[in-house]
Amino acid sequence: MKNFKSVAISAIITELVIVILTISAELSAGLKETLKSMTGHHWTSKGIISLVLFFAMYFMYGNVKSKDEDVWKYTKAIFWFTILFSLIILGFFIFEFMK
Amino acid sequence: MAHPLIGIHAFLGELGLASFLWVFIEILDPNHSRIKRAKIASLVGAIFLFLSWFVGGYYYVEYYGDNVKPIIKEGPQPWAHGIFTEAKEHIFLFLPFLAFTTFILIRNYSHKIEKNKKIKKSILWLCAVILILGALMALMGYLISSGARSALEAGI
Repeated sequence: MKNFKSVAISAIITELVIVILTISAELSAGLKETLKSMTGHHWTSKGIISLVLFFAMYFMYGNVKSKDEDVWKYTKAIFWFTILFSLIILGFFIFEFMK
Repeated sequence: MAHPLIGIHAFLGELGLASFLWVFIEILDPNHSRIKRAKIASLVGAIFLFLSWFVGGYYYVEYYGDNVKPIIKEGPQPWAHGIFTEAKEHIFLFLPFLAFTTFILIRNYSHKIEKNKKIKKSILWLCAVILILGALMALMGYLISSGARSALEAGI
């Protein structure tokens, strides 16, 4: 089983990519169309990209050195980045709807 | 009647969240048997959240877009789709990865949870963020359903 540091980094980067893809696709019709052309629906493509990215990074960085002290540090990062990314997505769609 | 897949999606999501609430409670005062149960519950919870994703995704792509989205957008609460469906479908994607991350943490550090308070606290925080997002998903689901219901009541 791979270590916690690799799965934590994979989770944060995957969440970041989801945020970037979500906002970029709303602002760029071309990107949304490209995502749609990949699987038939832009959301399905985002899901598959995030799934592949997460597990690819997890296995790629599975052998990085990890100490016990890293666990709390990376957990805090996951926690706060998840809250921040969720607020960014929610805030973006509130802004888009209001404008 | 609502589409059965939306009920299955919500039910699987609730089972996933209940599993992580179970993990949270077990880890509050951990011992060997509680950690063993928490490890199983976190794996089961992660599986439920992945299944909820796939079922909800199939419903969203195959049914919602053609049958529910236009009704909500024409109804008295178009923000239900414009804000909450759009946000929910993307924020939800975080949950299965957070669940898998929590399972890996418990799986890899099961022998240290009792003695190392920071590892115990880390598991509690990860469960907490899963439960916070899960509650947000339930709230958004309620708002989306209200948007659809209000449109139907308005005769759309």
